[in-house]
Formats: sequence, C-alpha cells, structure tokens
Amino acid sequence: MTELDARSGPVVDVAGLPRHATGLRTPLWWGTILLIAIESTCFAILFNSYLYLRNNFDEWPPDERLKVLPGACCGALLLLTLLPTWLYRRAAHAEHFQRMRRWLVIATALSLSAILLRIWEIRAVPFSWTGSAYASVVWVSLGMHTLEIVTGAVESVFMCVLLFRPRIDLKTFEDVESSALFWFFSVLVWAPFALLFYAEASSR
Amino acid sequence: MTVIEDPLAPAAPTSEPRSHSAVYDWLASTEHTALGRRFIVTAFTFFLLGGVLALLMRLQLARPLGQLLGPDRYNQLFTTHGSTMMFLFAVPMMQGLGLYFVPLMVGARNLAFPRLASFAFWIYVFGGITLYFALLSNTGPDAGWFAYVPLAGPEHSPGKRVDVWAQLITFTELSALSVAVNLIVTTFKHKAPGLSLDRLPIFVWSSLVTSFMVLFAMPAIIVASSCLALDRLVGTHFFNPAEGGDALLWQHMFWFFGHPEVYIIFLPGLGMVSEIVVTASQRSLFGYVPVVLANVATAILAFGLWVHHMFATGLPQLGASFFTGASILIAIPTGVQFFCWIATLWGSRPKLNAPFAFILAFFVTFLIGGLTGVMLAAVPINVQVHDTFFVVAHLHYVLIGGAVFPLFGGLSHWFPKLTGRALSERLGLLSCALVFVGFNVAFFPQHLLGLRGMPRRIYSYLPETGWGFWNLISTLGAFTLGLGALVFLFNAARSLRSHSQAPADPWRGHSLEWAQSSPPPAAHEREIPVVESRYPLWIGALGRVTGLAADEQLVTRVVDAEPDHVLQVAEPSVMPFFTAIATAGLIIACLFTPWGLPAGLVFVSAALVVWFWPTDTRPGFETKQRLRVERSGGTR
Repeated sequence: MTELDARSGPVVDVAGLPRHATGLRTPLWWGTILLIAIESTCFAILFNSYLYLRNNFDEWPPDERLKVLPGACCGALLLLTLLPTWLYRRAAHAEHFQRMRRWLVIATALSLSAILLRIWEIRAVPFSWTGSAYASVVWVSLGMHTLEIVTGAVESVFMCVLLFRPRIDLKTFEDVESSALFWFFSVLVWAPFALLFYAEASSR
Repeated sequence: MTVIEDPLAPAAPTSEPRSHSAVYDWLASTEHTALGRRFIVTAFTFFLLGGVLALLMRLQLARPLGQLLGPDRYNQLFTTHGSTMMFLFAVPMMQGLGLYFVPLMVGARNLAFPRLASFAFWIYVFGGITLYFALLSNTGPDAGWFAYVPLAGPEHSPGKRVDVWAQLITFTELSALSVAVNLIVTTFKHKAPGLSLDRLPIFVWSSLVTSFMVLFAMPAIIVASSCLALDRLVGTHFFNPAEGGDALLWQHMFWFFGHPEVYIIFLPGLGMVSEIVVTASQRSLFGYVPVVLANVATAILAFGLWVHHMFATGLPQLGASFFTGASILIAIPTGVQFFCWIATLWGSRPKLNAPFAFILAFFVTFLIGGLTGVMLAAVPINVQVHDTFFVVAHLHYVLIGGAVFPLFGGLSHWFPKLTGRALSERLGLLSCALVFVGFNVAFFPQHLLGLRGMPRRIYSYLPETGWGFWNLISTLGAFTLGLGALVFLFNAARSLRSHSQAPADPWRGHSLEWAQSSPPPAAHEREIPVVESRYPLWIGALGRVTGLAADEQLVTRVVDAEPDHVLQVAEPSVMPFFTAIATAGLIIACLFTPWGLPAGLVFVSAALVVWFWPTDTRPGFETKQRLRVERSGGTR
C-alpha cells in the first residue's frame, strides 16, 4: 500500500475550475517567455560579437555603407505590425473571437508585407558576407532576424487558417495570445541592431 | 459534428481516440516516465561508449611510445570522448532524471510540454548516432571538445570533421533547451496544491536552477558553433584574423557556455546528494534556505568566471584579477552546501547502503576537485599548469566527483522507483568501492604528471620524460573504474531479471515520488496529492485532488501552488518523432550545403503543421454560431 492509498489529509475538488485560461496563468505563456529568453540571449551574443569585432578595425564600417532607406522602411513597417498585433492579443485575452480573427488577419498581411521589404533590404546590402568580419556579422544578424520574422509570419498564417475552420478549440485563444507575444519579441529584438547598423552606416 | 444549444458553451470533442500498433505507441509515447527512462538508458549507453574511448586512450598512454593508436585516431578519440561525456552523457542524463522525477516530486501527472520532451529525446538520439557514425567512418571530430580556432577553422581543419562537431552541438542543444523549458514550466505551473516554492525538494530546486542556466548558457554555444560552421561552409570571417575576425571571440563565446556547463552538470548531482543525505539521516535538511540560495548563487556566479579558462591568452591584468576573484568566490556557495550536509548528518546514524556510500565517495573526490579549482583560479598556477594533465585531473575530479558519484548514488537510490526492482546492496557497495578506488588511482597521479610537465592531448611520449610509471598506474586505475561501472551495470541487469517487486518506499523517503507505487502508475491513472509541509511524507497529512478527468492536468499558481485551472493533457503523437527526423535531415544537409537550411525548413514546417493541427478532441466551439452571437452583442 502506498502513502497515497493511506492518506487522510485535505481533499481539494477542482471540478469547478475553468478548463482553459489565457495570459500568464497558462503554461504556454511561460513556455513562450522562456523561448524568448533563449532567443534574446542568442541575439545578445551576436550583438556583442559585432561590438567585439569592431575593435579589430581602424575604420568602421570597413566596407561600403549599408543603404538606410530599405532598412528604415522595413523597420517602420515591422513597428506598424505591432498595433494590430496588440489588438488581436487583447481580443484573444478577452476571448472575443471575431475581433481576434480580424486583427490577426490584418497583422499577418502587414507581416508578410514587411518580409517583402526585408527582401528589398537584403538585396540592397552592398557587400558580400565574405568581404570582412564586419560584413559577416551584419549578414548573419540580418539572416537570423529574417528567419525569426519569417517563422513568426508563417505561424500567423497557420493561425489564420485555423481560425477559418468550422470548429475552433478553446485553447486557440491561448495559442494566439502566445503568438502575439512572440511577434512582439521578434520585432523589438531587431531595434538595437537596426539602430546600430544604420546609425553607423550613415555616420561620416 | 456536434450541435450545441449554447453557442458560447464548449463543444464536445468530435473524434474518438484510435487504437494503434505497439511500435506506433512506443514512438508516440509522451509519458514522462517513459521519456525519462529512455534518456537515462541512452545517456548511460553513451557513457559506456565514451568510457571505452577513454580506456583506449589510457592503453595508448600506459607505456612510452605506445603503438596502439596513431596521432590522427587519437585526436578523434579524445575529441569524441570529451564531446560524448559533456553533450551526450552528462547533460542528457541529468535532464533525463529530471524528466522522470520532477513531475513525480512536484505531484504532477505529466510534463508541461510532453510532446516537446519526445522531440528532445529523438533529436538527441539522432545527434549521438551522427557523431558515432562519423567516428566509425574516420570523420570523427579531432580539434578537441572545445574546437578552438584557428585549429578548427577551414584552413587548418579541412574536411567535415569539425562540421560534425558543430552540428552535434545543434542536435544536443536543441534537446537540452527543450527539456529545460519543460522542467521549468512543469515546476512552475504543475505543482501539487500546497507545494509552494519554499517546499520544493532540493533536487527539484537544483533541476530548476540548472534549467535556467541551460537557457542562458546554451545559446552562446549555438551562436558560436553556427558562426564556426558558416566560416567553414560559406566563407564568413568571424574567427579569421586576416579579415578582421578574432580567434579569442571563439574562446569568449565558447567558455561563456562552457564554464556554466560544468555547473549545469553537477548542480543536479548536488541536488541528489541533498536528497540522499536527508533520507539517510532521516532528518530534515539543515539550512534548506541557504542550500537553495547557494544553488541560485552558484548559477549566477557561474556566468561570471568563464575567462579563467583564458588566462594563458594574455588578458589585461585587471580582467584576470577580476576573474580570479570570481572563480574563488564560487567556492563559497558550494562550501555552504557541504557544511549543511555535514550538519544534517552530524549525530545521525545513517546506514551505509550503496546510495550513501556513493555520497561519501562524492564528498572526498569533489572536495579535492574543488580545492584544485581554487588553485587553478590563481593566475600564476593556472599559467604554469595550463594544458597539462593537472587540468585533466582537476576537471575529472570535479565532473566525476561532482556529477558521476552522486549520479550513481541517485540511480541506486531511485532504482526501485525507476524499475520496480531493488538493487543488490552487496553488489552496489562493491561497485562503489571499485569506482572510488579506480577513479582515484586513475586520476590522482595525473596531478603529478601535470606538475611534471606532461601536456594534454599528446598521443605518445618518450621514455626519458619519466612519465611512464604514473601513466601505467593511471591506466590500471582507469580499468578498475571501468570494472566498477560494469559491476554497477551487472547489478542493474540482474535486478531487472529478478521477480521481486520493490516496495513503494524502501528508504522511508520524504518526498512525493515515494508516495507512488514502484514504478509509478501511468500519468492518466495517477492521483494528484495535496501537501501541507516541506516533507510531505514525514510531516502533516497527505490529501488528494478530486474532480480531475483521466486526460486532465491541474495547473497551479507559481509561488503558492494554489489551484488555478485545468488543462487537457496533449495526446501521444508520432509527430515529434517525424519532426526530429526532418530536423536531423536539415542539420545533416547543412554539413554539405547551405541550401540544406531552406530545403530542410520546408520539411520541418510541414511536420510542425501536422503536429499542431487540431484533432478536435479538445473543448471548442462552432465558429458560425460564435460569430453570430458576438455580432449580436453577446459576450462571455
């Protein structure tokens, strides 16, 4: 006989508890935050590598300068996606399905447009990654962040498809909210890189 | 499709679970006990493989001018040995024990993300297979387990050997991060009611702290190995000084991961020590709060002393002094734990069984490793013995002393819970004696060899060096250690074949895993306890949770573990297995071409879509009805 068979302590009945939740009450929210912590560390290490490598150059940036306009346009549109993302996150938290779906579709469309601008930004980079350590770190940062936003956008498209099915899991509210959280991170993590890269590219 | 009266009320599930073949069920299993056992068995297999490589190296070095191995094979062996023990044995073994025991110890039915844990297992297995396939086909990594550039760069290491190492990192770190996230969220959100943070067993605390360390340490090596792979595959210049890159950048990134890795490996071991000391003494732990804080302090300090691995690179003196201070400082929290264990045991009458014998062996060996660690923190000594066998001796005293002895103790302690069978005490004590004597005979002489100038990573030496005698002794010790490991294995195999059922609580344990039968019931049959104290099986009454369906999991609040809501447990699925295959394909393709990334992502994405596609077995609602009600102003 185990201790559990012999127990005589308090009985807690959870039959009346809700069968789903949103926000930081849920395990998924915590999982998303931890994923963001992992990826933040990756980006932070890459950012520090950029600063570390700068010490090896007399002139910085050593290669041809990055073009500011494509990067600025892409960055601005990415920032703009945060508004509908905020709105669909709020709707998901309040479990308002119609509003959540509408704003998610708009946010997804904007995210896909931002990826088109990112392609323009990448094509406008005037040097190859084989040019120097500076070129390498810029290309890899840009590539890693592009992978980040493409992943986020693909996830949003997937969510949109799910939201047009005839039957929806209640858990979808939780999923969509976490997706929004992740997109916020995906956009904002680029801010220090973009500011540094393009500020240095436009300096004399 | 179900028609429901209230459009805002959850719709009933629309499909019934199907029955599958045994192979399908095995591949699809998401039960934390099954996954934990698989991790433990696989990691132990890699431990034996890494041990065989070590014995081959010891045979080669037993006499001067050894002829068993050539330099090229020797380089592959020491690199694969180090990589195996760090990435394929130590971390997965500790995490496997966490996967098995953390849910049991916190009173949860399963992990927070069981499918993710299944993915973690498969990707880990595929990584290990890749490494050993490469070794057997003469493509084993050969630049050391830390793959220093420029040696590991494209110029000095052509071919695919270093790329295999870099991709091994991707495999194993994906796995480690997935398990770490799982353990943290399971501990935070699935504790039994009443099991507030200040009541967690110390092993759970050490597992939690370690998981946070994994979260912040592993990204460094992922970024570093990716940059190395890119330097080698597409011609970037991160580590190429000719184009503004920096070889020391590699060392910084590597050791920012590598030093915390040491603590990632042995902090769970210290958690096991606490559990066994408490059980052996039948007393509550002296200084529970200081021990928890010591774990946290060790984790924080561990990130501030990576540079002591780089003292020989000519750092500024101020930097070296800072990292010397930090390296000495970290001895304090470990010392606190030592004194708390001694105080707990003081005056008690612990029985000298196999788990406790391994802990006594740990006390001696880890203490020696800690003391040589303090020596190595001092720049003059560090520079003097840099890259000698003194460092080899030190790191084995720390890692085998701090992790393997507690691990053997932990496996002996928890064997009944893992398998339902009890180990033979006599064979357990014999294996402990052999491992302890063998270990010290193998590694203590290496301190002397290092002080006499024998460098690491040499495949041979001349008779005139005078290193032959201690090398021979070291080899004899290594084989004794290997024999001890085999006796341990024999003991386990013998017990598994026996028919005697182990009792639920053979040691009179204090924590919740001992409240379950041995082995524990399947997750859906398991009841959630309600606890009233830090030692729920010793102090206070043990209650239970009612009103939970078989496929449901209770979610509680992070700090006070008050019940919050109920979730449906994810069903078993083969998709983690297939996603791991797709991911492995991507990683292996990237060994040869950068196009492996986009091509592989297509398959990985497809696998993920199937993984996350709803099965309509969870509570839900009809879309049209929901929209109609919301448009008419209905709210929830």
